Formats: sequence, C-alpha cells, structure tokens
Amino acid sequence: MARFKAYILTSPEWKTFFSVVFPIAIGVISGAYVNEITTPDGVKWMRSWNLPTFYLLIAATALMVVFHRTLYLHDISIDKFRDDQFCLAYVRSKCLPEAAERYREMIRSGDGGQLKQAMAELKKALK
Amino acid sequence: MTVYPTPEFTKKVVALPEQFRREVKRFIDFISSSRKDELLKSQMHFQTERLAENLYQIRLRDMRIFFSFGGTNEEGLLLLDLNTHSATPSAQKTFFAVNDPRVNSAFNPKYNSSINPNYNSSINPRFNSSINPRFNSSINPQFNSSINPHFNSSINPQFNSSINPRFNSSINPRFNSSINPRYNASFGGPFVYSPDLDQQGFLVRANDSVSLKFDEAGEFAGTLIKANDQVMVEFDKDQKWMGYFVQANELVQLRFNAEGEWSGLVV
Repeated sequence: MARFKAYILTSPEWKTFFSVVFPIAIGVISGAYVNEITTPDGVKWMRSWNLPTFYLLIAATALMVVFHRTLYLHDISIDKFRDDQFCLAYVRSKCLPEAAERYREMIRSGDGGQLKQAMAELKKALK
Repeated sequence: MTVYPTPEFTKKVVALPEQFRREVKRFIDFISSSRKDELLKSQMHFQTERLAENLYQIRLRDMRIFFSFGGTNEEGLLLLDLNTHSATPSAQKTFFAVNDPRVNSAFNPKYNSSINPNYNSSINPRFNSSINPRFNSSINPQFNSSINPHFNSSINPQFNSSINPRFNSSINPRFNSSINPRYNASFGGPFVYSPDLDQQGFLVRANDSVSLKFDEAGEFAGTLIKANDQVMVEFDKDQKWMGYFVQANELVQLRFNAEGEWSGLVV
C-alpha cells in the first residue's frame, strides 16, 4: 500500500489522471443525482437519503479530499526536507559548529571579553 | 541562562530593521529568564529545532536564530548567527557585510598594513615563496594533482554533484535564499572585493576543502580549493586556474591572480 501510494504521489501521469478523473466523476454523479431529485413539482431534497447517487457523490468527494490531502502532506514533507537541507548548508557554509566550539572554549578559559563587549553592544542596540 | 552573543551576531542585529530587532529582544528576554530545559520544551513561546550536536535554531517569523549551549556552568546560551528572509530580492548594489572593509579600517589593507602585501612581506608571494605557487609546487595545481579539479574528481563540480550548485540546490543561492545576500539581508559575507573594495561576489563553503564563488547576481563563478591552511587555489567555472587566495589573518584573505599580482580580497 505504501509503495503504491508513493508511486502515485511521485508519478506525474497518475497525479494528472486522478486530478482529471475525480472532477469528471463528480460531475457525472452530480448530474445523475440532480436528475433523480428533480421532479415536475420541483426539487425533492428529501429523496436524497434513498438515492445511491447521493452516497456515491459523498464517497467520490471524500476520495478527492483524501487524494488532495495526501498530495498536500507529501509536498509539505518535501518542503520540510528541503528547508532542513538548506538550513544545514547555511550552517556548514558559516562553520557554525566550529565557531560554537571556539566560543565555548573562550568562555571556559575565562577569555570571554569579546563576548561581554558584544553583549553590551547588543543591549545598546536593543534598547 | 546567561546569554553570550558572538560579535558577528551583534553586528547583524545592529543592522536589522526595527521589527526584527523587536523579535530578537523578545527572544533574549525569554531566554535570560529561562532554563535550558524550559527553552527546549517550551514549544509555546519559541519552537526550537535541533540541527546538529549542540546546535539549534528557532524561527521568529521571517528570521532564524542559530544558537548553542555552553559556558562555564553549561547553563549559558551562545547566540551564534541569524538570517532573515525577504520574499523579494534586494535591488541594492552592495550588500551588508559583517566585516566590511569599506567601513572598518581593520579589514582595509589601505589602512591596516598587516593585511597589506606591500607592507607585510609574509603575506606577499613575491617575498614569501611558501605561499607562491611558482616556487611551492604543493600549492600549484599544475604540479599537485590533488588540488587540480582536472585530475581530482572529488573537487570537480562536473563530477562531484554534491559540490555542484546545478545539482545540489542547497548550495545554490538561486534556490537557497539563506545563502543569497539578495534575499537574506543578514547574510553578512564572506564577500569578494576588488582592490578598490567593490563587492564582486560572495563565497559559499561547500565542504572542508571546497568553497564556491558566486557573482553579485548569484551566478556560479568558480571554485576555491583548499591547498593548505594558508592558501586556497581559485578556478573559474570551466575549471581554469585563475589564481589563489592567501590567508592574511583569521578573517581576511588576499586574492592574487596566477601571475602573483594582488587582485583583491575576501572578508
């Protein structure tokens, strides 16, 4: 199931297929449903409960929601992955782990004058 | 917690617009009165994400703050860096630099003779043969194949996709806005400067031995390969040897062309 899901989510053909099929199916079912509830005396909404097309319409809409929600979650996970990778690339580019180690050592050895001065400047800037 | 901002962080905060500074102040006020575990568990005030061993980030709207824990009692917090994100690119011709040689004379070779090769012979390849590829074959890509992308595929972006911005979008400023000074106003450098201190581009470190050079528009312009602790050799995007960079001090590198003429600096 997971493999099938991944296959559909990564295949442009399947994504297009479902994006086209769902609206068509819902359109056709809606037409049939409207046909069934329409009488010469007007629209009989209360008939809906006894019509299979009504339940088919709900089922097709629910399937469409599930499909688009899965697509959305998939896109979000890609964005999150890319964002994490981009963030790590920035961290690597700026040598932040090495800088952190250097400053930690500075604090441990009591040579934190630079940092104290930076704090004083920061306080001034944030006033 | 005791808060320790680094000088780089402070310089970036000073240059931030007012609305970002307010966010930084809110964060600092919170951490100053909190404990480490409170910050890490408090997802209500600030969402902390762990990026690496003892390296974290929090997001404050369009800003990220990078920090680490440590200090005399391990209850200190080091504010290391920050970056901002703008939805539209900056149209400015020059970018904000943390260490700007146009403003800070300590980074300007005209005023600081210790980083001027005309006054400091130890960083002048004409006088110091150990940093001159003509005399030191270990830093000459024509003799040392390990620093020549034509012979060492691991440092050649055409063969190693992890250092090729076309294939690795995380090191491509067109895709990764945090390494693009047009979108990240707090990028801060390192920038490549001409001898007249015009910004010509910026560097992105791809790994321990390779840095990538981009022009002001964010176009890939070449690679820098680490030859030793003091020298990096420069290639253009077609892997043609262009020159080399000599470490003048911890933050400044001097740029020389292949003939040994001083042609700029990186800060």
